[in-house]
Amino acid sequence: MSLFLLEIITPERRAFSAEVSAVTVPASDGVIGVLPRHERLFTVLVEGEVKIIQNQEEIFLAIGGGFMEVTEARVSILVTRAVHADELNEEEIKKARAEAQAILARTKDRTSTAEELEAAQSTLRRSILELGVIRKRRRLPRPLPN
Amino acid sequence: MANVKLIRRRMKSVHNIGQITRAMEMVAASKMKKAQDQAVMGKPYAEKISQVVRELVSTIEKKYHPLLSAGNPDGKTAIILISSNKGMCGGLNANLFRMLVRELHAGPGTDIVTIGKKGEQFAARAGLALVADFSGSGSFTEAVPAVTQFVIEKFLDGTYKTVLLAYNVFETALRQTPSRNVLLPLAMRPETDRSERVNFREFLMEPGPSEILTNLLPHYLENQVRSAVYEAEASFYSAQMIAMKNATDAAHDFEHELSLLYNKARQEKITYEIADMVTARMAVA
Repeated sequence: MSLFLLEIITPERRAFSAEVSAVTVPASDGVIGVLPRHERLFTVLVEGEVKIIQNQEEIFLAIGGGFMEVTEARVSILVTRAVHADELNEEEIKKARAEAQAILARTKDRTSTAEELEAAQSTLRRSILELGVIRKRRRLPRPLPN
Repeated sequence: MANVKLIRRRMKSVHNIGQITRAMEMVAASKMKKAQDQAVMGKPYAEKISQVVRELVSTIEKKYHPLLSAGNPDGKTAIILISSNKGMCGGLNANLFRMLVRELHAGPGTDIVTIGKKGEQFAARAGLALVADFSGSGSFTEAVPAVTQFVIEKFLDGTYKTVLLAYNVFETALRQTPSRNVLLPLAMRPETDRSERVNFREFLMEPGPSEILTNLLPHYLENQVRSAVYEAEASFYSAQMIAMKNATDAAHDFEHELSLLYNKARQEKITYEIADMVTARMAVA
Protein backbone atom coordinates (compact mmCIF):
# COMPACT_ATOMS: atom_id res chain seq x y z
CA MET A 1 0.00 0.00 0.00
CA SER A 2 1.45 3.36 -0.93
CA LEU A 3 1.82 6.10 1.61
CA PHE A 4 2.76 9.77 1.63
CA LEU A 5 4.19 12.13 4.21
CA LEU A 6 1.68 14.46 5.81
CA GLU A 7 2.67 17.44 7.95
CA ILE A 8 0.27 19.65 9.80
CA ILE A 9 2.05 22.74 11.10
CA THR A 10 0.62 25.55 13.20
CA PRO A 11 2.42 28.64 14.52
CA GLU A 12 2.59 26.96 17.93
CA ARG A 13 3.69 23.47 17.04
CA ARG A 14 3.93 20.62 14.58
CA ALA A 15 0.57 19.02 15.19
CA PHE A 16 1.03 15.99 12.99
CA SER A 17 3.83 14.46 10.98
CA ALA A 18 3.70 10.89 9.73
CA GLU A 19 3.25 8.62 6.73
CA VAL A 20 -0.44 8.27 5.94
CA SER A 21 -2.51 6.69 3.20
CA ALA A 22 -5.13 9.41 2.72
CA VAL A 23 -6.29 12.76 4.01
CA THR A 24 -9.48 14.78 3.60
CA VAL A 25 -9.41 18.55 4.12
CA PRO A 26 -11.95 21.37 4.00
CA ALA A 27 -10.91 23.65 1.10
CA SER A 28 -12.63 26.90 0.30
CA ASP A 29 -14.60 25.31 -2.57
CA GLY A 30 -15.51 22.15 -0.72
CA VAL A 31 -13.90 19.09 0.77
CA ILE A 32 -10.82 17.73 -1.01
CA GLY A 33 -9.45 14.24 -0.58
CA VAL A 34 -5.78 13.61 -1.19
CA LEU A 35 -4.41 10.16 -2.00
CA PRO A 36 -0.83 9.17 -2.76
CA ARG A 37 0.55 10.51 -6.07
CA HIS A 38 -1.89 13.38 -6.10
CA GLU A 39 -1.33 16.14 -8.62
CA ARG A 40 0.60 19.17 -7.34
CA LEU A 41 -1.86 21.46 -5.68
CA PHE A 42 -1.93 24.63 -3.67
CA THR A 43 -5.18 25.53 -2.01
CA VAL A 44 -6.79 27.65 0.67
CA LEU A 45 -8.31 25.81 3.61
CA VAL A 46 -11.18 26.93 5.76
CA GLU A 47 -12.14 26.11 9.34
CA GLY A 48 -13.28 22.53 9.51
CA GLU A 49 -12.22 19.00 10.21
CA VAL A 50 -9.35 17.03 8.74
CA LYS A 51 -9.69 13.29 8.40
CA ILE A 52 -6.48 11.30 8.19
CA ILE A 53 -6.36 7.61 7.33
CA GLN A 54 -3.36 5.90 8.82
CA ASN A 55 -3.03 2.13 9.16
CA GLN A 56 -6.71 1.79 8.24
CA GLU A 57 -7.68 3.94 11.18
CA GLU A 58 -9.24 7.33 11.06
CA ILE A 59 -7.75 10.29 12.88
CA PHE A 60 -9.71 13.50 13.21
CA LEU A 61 -8.42 17.01 13.80
CA ALA A 62 -10.24 20.31 14.06
CA ILE A 63 -8.40 23.05 12.17
CA GLY A 64 -8.59 26.79 11.72
CA GLY A 65 -8.10 28.43 8.32
CA GLY A 66 -4.88 28.05 6.36
CA PHE A 67 -3.26 26.52 3.31
CA MET A 68 -2.36 23.16 1.88
CA GLU A 69 0.54 22.42 -0.42
CA VAL A 70 0.67 19.08 -2.20
CA THR A 71 3.95 18.09 -3.83
CA GLU A 72 5.45 14.77 -4.86
CA ALA A 73 7.47 14.63 -1.68
CA ARG A 74 4.87 15.57 0.88
CA VAL A 75 1.62 17.21 1.81
CA SER A 76 2.02 20.25 4.06
CA ILE A 77 -0.93 21.77 5.82
CA LEU A 78 -0.33 25.21 7.32
CA VAL A 79 -3.15 26.30 9.58
CA THR A 80 -3.74 28.76 12.39
CA ARG A 81 -4.67 25.99 14.79
CA ALA A 82 -5.02 22.22 14.77
CA VAL A 83 -6.37 20.14 17.63
CA HIS A 84 -6.54 16.37 17.87
CA ALA A 85 -9.86 14.89 18.88
CA ASP A 86 -8.40 13.42 22.06
CA GLU A 87 -7.04 16.81 23.13
CA LEU A 88 -10.48 18.32 23.21
CA ASN A 89 -12.45 18.63 26.41
CA GLU A 90 -16.14 18.17 25.76
CA GLU A 91 -17.28 19.89 28.95
CA GLU A 92 -15.28 23.03 28.24
CA ILE A 93 -16.43 23.21 24.66
CA LYS A 94 -20.05 22.90 25.72
CA LYS A 95 -19.54 25.66 28.23
CA ALA A 96 -17.96 27.88 25.59
CA ARG A 97 -20.81 27.13 23.25
CA ALA A 98 -23.39 28.02 25.88
CA GLU A 99 -21.63 31.31 26.60
CA ALA A 100 -21.41 32.17 22.93
CA GLN A 101 -25.08 31.38 22.47
CA ALA A 102 -25.97 33.56 25.44
CA ILE A 103 -24.08 36.50 23.93
CA LEU A 104 -25.73 35.97 20.57
CA ALA A 105 -29.15 35.75 22.20
CA ARG A 106 -28.59 39.13 23.81
CA THR A 107 -28.23 40.88 20.44
CA LYS A 108 -31.91 41.71 20.51
CA ASP A 109 -31.52 44.16 23.39
CA ARG A 110 -28.29 45.48 21.80
CA THR A 111 -26.10 45.11 24.85
CA SER A 112 -23.15 43.53 23.08
CA THR A 113 -20.67 45.24 20.79
CA ALA A 114 -19.76 44.19 17.27
CA GLU A 115 -16.46 42.69 18.39
CA GLU A 116 -18.15 40.65 21.07
CA LEU A 117 -20.62 39.33 18.55
CA GLU A 118 -17.91 38.40 16.14
CA ALA A 119 -15.94 36.64 18.84
CA ALA A 120 -19.06 34.81 20.01
CA GLN A 121 -19.89 33.71 16.49
CA SER A 122 -16.44 32.32 15.90
CA THR A 123 -16.48 30.56 19.28
CA LEU A 124 -19.83 29.05 18.42
CA ARG A 125 -18.61 27.88 15.02
CA ARG A 126 -15.51 26.39 16.56
CA SER A 127 -17.31 24.62 19.38
CA ILE A 128 -19.83 23.05 17.02
CA LEU A 129 -16.97 21.87 14.85
CA GLU A 130 -15.02 20.47 17.79
CA LEU A 131 -18.04 18.65 19.20
CA GLY A 132 -18.49 17.07 15.78
CA VAL A 133 -14.89 15.91 15.84
CA ILE A 134 -15.31 14.42 19.32
CA ARG A 135 -18.42 12.58 18.26
CA LYS A 136 -16.64 11.05 15.29
CA ARG A 137 -13.77 9.98 17.50
CA ARG A 138 -16.19 8.09 19.74
CA ARG A 139 -17.56 6.03 16.92
CA LEU A 140 -14.16 4.55 16.24
CA PRO A 141 -14.06 0.80 16.66
CA ARG A 142 -10.52 0.69 18.03
CA PRO A 143 -8.52 3.19 20.06
CA LEU A 144 -5.89 5.10 18.10
CA PRO A 145 -2.21 4.53 18.67
CA ASN A 146 -0.75 7.75 19.91
CA MET B 1 30.68 56.86 65.76
CA ALA B 2 28.34 58.06 62.98
CA ASN B 3 30.52 56.43 60.35
CA VAL B 4 29.79 52.94 61.60
CA LYS B 5 26.07 53.53 61.56
CA LEU B 6 26.27 54.98 58.07
CA ILE B 7 28.17 51.97 56.73
CA ARG B 8 25.73 49.62 58.43
CA ARG B 9 22.83 51.37 56.71
CA ARG B 10 24.48 51.22 53.31
CA MET B 11 25.22 47.52 53.77
CA LYS B 12 21.61 46.86 54.46
CA SER B 13 20.36 48.71 51.40
CA VAL B 14 22.94 47.11 49.12
CA HIS B 15 21.88 43.73 50.47
CA ASN B 16 18.25 44.51 49.73
CA ILE B 17 19.03 45.64 46.19
CA GLY B 18 20.96 42.42 45.68
CA GLN B 19 17.94 40.41 46.73
CA ILE B 20 15.62 42.31 44.43
CA THR B 21 17.87 41.97 41.39
CA ARG B 22 18.29 38.29 42.17
CA ALA B 23 14.51 37.84 42.14
CA MET B 24 14.26 39.80 38.89
CA GLU B 25 16.93 37.62 37.37
CA MET B 26 14.94 34.48 38.18
CA VAL B 27 11.73 35.95 36.78
CA ALA B 28 13.49 36.99 33.58
CA ALA B 29 15.07 33.55 33.26
CA SER B 30 11.72 31.77 33.40
CA LYS B 31 10.13 34.24 31.00
CA MET B 32 13.07 33.88 28.66
CA LYS B 33 12.54 30.13 28.58
CA LYS B 34 8.92 30.63 27.61
CA ALA B 35 9.65 33.27 24.97
CA GLN B 36 12.45 31.16 23.56
CA ASP B 37 10.22 28.09 23.30
CA GLN B 38 7.62 30.14 21.53
CA ALA B 39 10.18 31.46 19.06
CA VAL B 40 11.51 27.97 18.42
CA MET B 41 8.10 26.34 18.06
CA GLY B 42 7.00 28.92 15.53
CA LYS B 43 10.05 28.42 13.34
CA PRO B 44 8.89 25.48 11.16
CA TYR B 45 5.67 27.31 10.35
CA ALA B 46 7.41 30.59 9.59
CA GLU B 47 10.01 28.88 7.42
CA LYS B 48 7.47 26.87 5.48
CA ILE B 49 5.23 29.83 4.83
CA SER B 50 8.07 32.08 3.74
CA GLN B 51 9.35 29.35 1.43
CA VAL B 52 5.93 29.09 -0.15
CA VAL B 53 5.60 32.85 -0.52
CA ARG B 54 9.09 33.19 -1.98
CA GLU B 55 8.32 30.65 -4.61
CA LEU B 56 4.94 32.10 -5.42
CA VAL B 57 6.34 35.60 -5.68
CA SER B 58 9.20 34.57 -7.95
CA THR B 59 6.96 32.81 -10.45
CA ILE B 60 3.59 34.48 -10.33
CA GLU B 61 2.78 37.54 -12.37
CA LYS B 62 2.65 40.77 -10.42
CA LYS B 63 -0.79 41.67 -11.67
CA TYR B 64 -2.46 39.06 -9.50
CA HIS B 65 -2.19 41.04 -6.31
CA PRO B 66 -1.48 44.69 -5.40
CA LEU B 67 0.83 43.65 -2.55
CA LEU B 68 3.21 42.17 -5.11
CA SER B 69 3.83 45.53 -6.75
CA ALA B 70 7.08 47.38 -6.19
CA GLY B 71 5.23 50.16 -4.39
CA ASN B 72 5.09 53.86 -5.02
CA PRO B 73 8.65 54.99 -5.88
CA ASP B 74 8.08 58.41 -4.28
CA GLY B 75 6.78 56.91 -1.06
CA LYS B 76 8.47 57.12 2.30
CA THR B 77 10.27 54.43 4.25
CA ALA B 78 8.61 53.13 7.35
CA ILE B 79 10.37 51.28 10.13
CA ILE B 80 8.57 49.04 12.57
CA LEU B 81 10.68 49.35 15.69
CA ILE B 82 10.21 46.50 18.14
CA SER B 83 11.75 47.33 21.52
CA SER B 84 10.44 46.68 25.02
CA ASN B 85 8.06 48.31 27.46
CA LYS B 86 10.46 48.12 30.36
CA GLY B 87 14.13 48.78 30.82
CA MET B 88 16.56 46.98 33.12
CA CYS B 89 18.01 45.11 30.20
CA GLY B 90 21.47 46.64 29.79
CA GLY B 91 22.33 48.09 26.41
CA LEU B 92 19.73 46.09 24.48
CA ASN B 93 17.47 48.92 23.42
CA ALA B 94 20.32 51.42 23.11
CA ASN B 95 22.11 49.15 20.63
CA LEU B 96 18.94 48.79 18.60
CA PHE B 97 18.41 52.55 18.48
CA ARG B 98 22.01 53.09 17.48
CA MET B 99 21.57 50.78 14.52
CA LEU B 100 18.37 52.62 13.64
CA VAL B 101 20.14 55.94 13.42
CA ARG B 102 23.52 54.92 12.06
CA GLU B 103 22.69 52.17 9.61
CA LEU B 104 19.14 52.84 8.61
CA HIS B 105 19.67 56.60 8.67
CA ALA B 106 16.34 57.15 10.32
CA GLY B 107 15.62 60.84 9.94
CA PRO B 108 12.81 63.23 9.17
CA GLY B 109 11.92 61.32 5.97
CA THR B 110 11.24 58.06 7.76
CA ASP B 111 8.11 57.14 9.61
CA ILE B 112 8.48 55.13 12.77
CA VAL B 113 5.91 52.65 14.00
CA THR B 114 6.75 51.40 17.45
CA ILE B 115 5.92 48.31 19.46
CA GLY B 116 7.36 48.94 22.91
CA LYS B 117 7.34 52.02 25.10
CA LYS B 118 11.13 52.42 25.05
CA GLY B 119 11.10 52.79 21.29
CA GLU B 120 8.31 55.30 21.48
CA GLN B 121 10.23 57.40 24.01
CA PHE B 122 13.36 57.21 21.91
CA ALA B 123 11.58 58.31 18.74
CA ALA B 124 10.00 61.23 20.56
CA ARG B 125 13.32 62.30 22.09
CA ALA B 126 15.27 61.95 18.85
CA GLY B 127 12.68 63.98 16.96
CA LEU B 128 11.73 61.16 14.60
CA ALA B 129 8.36 61.04 12.88
CA LEU B 130 6.45 58.71 15.15
CA VAL B 131 3.27 57.82 13.29
CA ALA B 132 1.85 55.08 15.45
CA ASP B 133 2.58 53.29 18.68
CA PHE B 134 1.19 49.85 19.36
CA SER B 135 2.74 49.24 22.78
CA GLY B 136 -0.74 49.04 24.29
CA SER B 137 -1.42 47.41 27.60
CA GLY B 138 -1.47 43.74 26.64
CA SER B 139 1.27 41.57 25.20
CA PHE B 140 3.02 42.52 22.00
CA THR B 141 1.60 39.54 20.14
CA GLU B 142 -1.87 41.04 20.46
CA ALA B 143 -0.65 44.11 18.60
CA VAL B 144 0.64 42.10 15.63
CA PRO B 145 -2.55 42.01 13.50
CA ALA B 146 -3.12 45.74 14.02
CA VAL B 147 0.45 46.69 13.06
CA THR B 148 0.34 44.50 9.98
CA GLN B 149 -3.00 45.92 8.92
CA PHE B 150 -1.66 49.43 9.39
CA VAL B 151 1.45 49.01 7.22
CA ILE B 152 -0.40 47.06 4.52
CA GLU B 153 -2.92 49.87 4.15
CA LYS B 154 -0.21 52.52 4.01
CA PHE B 155 1.78 50.49 1.50
CA LEU B 156 -1.22 49.99 -0.76
CA ASP B 157 -2.22 53.65 -0.77
CA GLY B 158 1.31 54.64 -1.78
CA THR B 159 2.42 56.38 1.42
CA TYR B 160 5.26 53.92 1.92
CA LYS B 161 7.60 52.39 -0.60
CA THR B 162 9.47 50.24 1.87
CA VAL B 163 8.57 48.81 5.24
CA LEU B 164 11.39 47.55 7.44
CA LEU B 165 11.36 45.62 10.67
CA ALA B 166 13.99 46.57 13.25
CA TYR B 167 14.37 44.32 16.27
CA ASN B 168 16.84 42.37 18.36
CA VAL B 169 17.51 38.86 17.16
CA PHE B 170 17.94 36.25 19.87
CA GLU B 171 21.16 34.39 19.15
CA THR B 172 22.08 32.99 22.53
CA ALA B 173 21.22 34.01 26.05
CA LEU B 174 24.40 36.07 26.04
CA ARG B 175 24.13 37.51 22.56
CA GLN B 176 21.38 39.55 20.98
CA THR B 177 22.06 41.43 17.79
CA PRO B 178 20.06 44.33 16.45
CA SER B 179 18.88 43.43 12.96
CA ARG B 180 16.50 44.49 10.26
CA ASN B 181 14.30 42.79 7.68
CA VAL B 182 12.51 44.08 4.64
CA LEU B 183 8.83 43.35 5.14
CA LEU B 184 7.54 45.11 2.03
CA PRO B 185 7.72 45.24 -0.95
CA LEU B 186 7.74 41.51 -1.46
CA ALA B 187 9.20 41.84 -4.94
CA MET B 188 12.50 43.02 -3.49
CA ARG B 189 13.10 39.82 -1.62
CA PRO B 190 16.37 38.20 -2.68
CA GLU B 191 16.06 34.90 -4.47
CA THR B 192 17.38 32.07 -2.40
CA ASP B 193 18.39 28.55 -3.08
CA ARG B 194 17.47 27.87 -6.65
CA SER B 195 17.85 24.16 -6.10
CA GLU B 196 14.69 23.89 -4.05
CA ARG B 197 12.73 26.15 -6.34
CA VAL B 198 9.51 24.67 -7.51
CA ASN B 199 7.73 26.00 -10.50
CA PHE B 200 4.33 27.05 -9.32
CA ARG B 201 2.93 27.05 -12.80
CA GLU B 202 2.83 23.31 -12.55
CA PHE B 203 0.66 23.65 -9.52
CA LEU B 204 -3.05 23.36 -9.58
CA MET B 205 -4.30 26.43 -7.76
CA GLU B 206 -7.59 26.42 -6.01
CA PRO B 207 -9.63 28.60 -6.05
CA GLY B 208 -7.27 30.75 -8.20
CA PRO B 209 -3.95 32.59 -7.92
CA SER B 210 -5.42 35.92 -6.88
CA GLU B 211 -7.74 34.43 -4.25
CA ILE B 212 -4.87 32.44 -2.83
CA LEU B 213 -2.65 35.51 -2.66
CA THR B 214 -5.37 37.55 -1.02
CA ASN B 215 -5.46 34.98 1.72
CA LEU B 216 -1.81 34.09 1.86
CA LEU B 217 0.03 37.43 1.68
CA PRO B 218 -1.52 39.29 4.63
CA HIS B 219 -1.22 36.12 6.66
CA TYR B 220 2.41 35.79 5.68
CA LEU B 221 3.22 39.40 6.59
CA GLU B 222 1.50 38.97 9.91
CA ASN B 223 3.55 35.87 10.56
CA GLN B 224 6.76 37.73 9.72
CA VAL B 225 5.90 40.47 12.21
CA ARG B 226 4.89 37.90 14.79
CA SER B 227 8.14 35.98 14.59
CA ALA B 228 10.06 39.26 14.89
CA VAL B 229 8.07 40.02 18.04
CA TYR B 230 8.89 36.60 19.47
CA GLU B 231 12.58 37.14 18.76
CA ALA B 232 12.49 40.57 20.36
CA GLU B 233 10.75 39.22 23.45
CA ALA B 234 13.23 36.39 23.88
CA SER B 235 16.09 38.89 23.44
CA PHE B 236 14.62 41.23 25.99
CA TYR B 237 14.22 38.64 28.70
CA SER B 238 17.66 37.17 28.16
CA ALA B 239 19.26 40.63 28.18
CA GLN B 240 17.33 41.44 31.33
CA MET B 241 18.42 38.22 32.94
CA ILE B 242 22.09 38.96 32.21
CA ALA B 243 21.79 42.58 33.33
CA MET B 244 20.18 41.50 36.59
CA LYS B 245 22.81 38.82 37.13
CA ASN B 246 25.52 41.46 36.75
CA ALA B 247 23.68 43.74 39.14
CA THR B 248 23.38 40.95 41.70
CA ASP B 249 27.08 40.15 41.44
CA ALA B 250 27.99 43.83 41.76
CA ALA B 251 25.77 44.12 44.82
CA HIS B 252 27.49 41.12 46.43
CA ASP B 253 30.94 42.56 45.70
CA PHE B 254 29.98 45.92 47.10
CA GLU B 255 28.48 44.35 50.18
CA HIS B 256 31.74 42.51 50.79
CA GLU B 257 33.74 45.71 50.44
CA LEU B 258 31.42 47.52 52.78
CA SER B 259 31.66 44.80 55.41
CA LEU B 260 35.47 45.11 55.36
CA LEU B 261 35.11 48.84 55.81
CA TYR B 262 32.58 48.33 58.56
CA ASN B 263 34.83 45.95 60.50
CA LYS B 264 37.74 48.31 60.18
CA ALA B 265 35.68 51.23 61.48
CA ARG B 266 34.36 49.13 64.35
CA GLN B 267 37.85 48.01 65.37
CA GLU B 268 39.12 51.56 65.16
CA LYS B 269 36.32 52.62 67.45
CA ILE B 270 37.23 49.93 70.00
CA THR B 271 40.92 50.90 69.85
CA TYR B 272 40.02 54.53 70.55
CA GLU B 273 37.86 53.51 73.48
CA ILE B 274 40.66 51.47 75.00
CA ALA B 275 43.12 54.33 74.46
CA ASP B 276 40.62 56.66 76.12
CA MET B 277 40.27 54.40 79.11
CA VAL B 278 44.04 54.07 79.48
CA THR B 279 44.63 57.84 79.34
CA ALA B 280 41.79 58.43 81.81
CA ARG B 281 43.29 55.96 84.20
CA MET B 282 46.73 57.47 83.86
CA ALA B 283 45.30 60.92 84.52
CA VAL B 284 43.60 59.70 87.69
CA ALA B 285 46.65 57.83 88.98
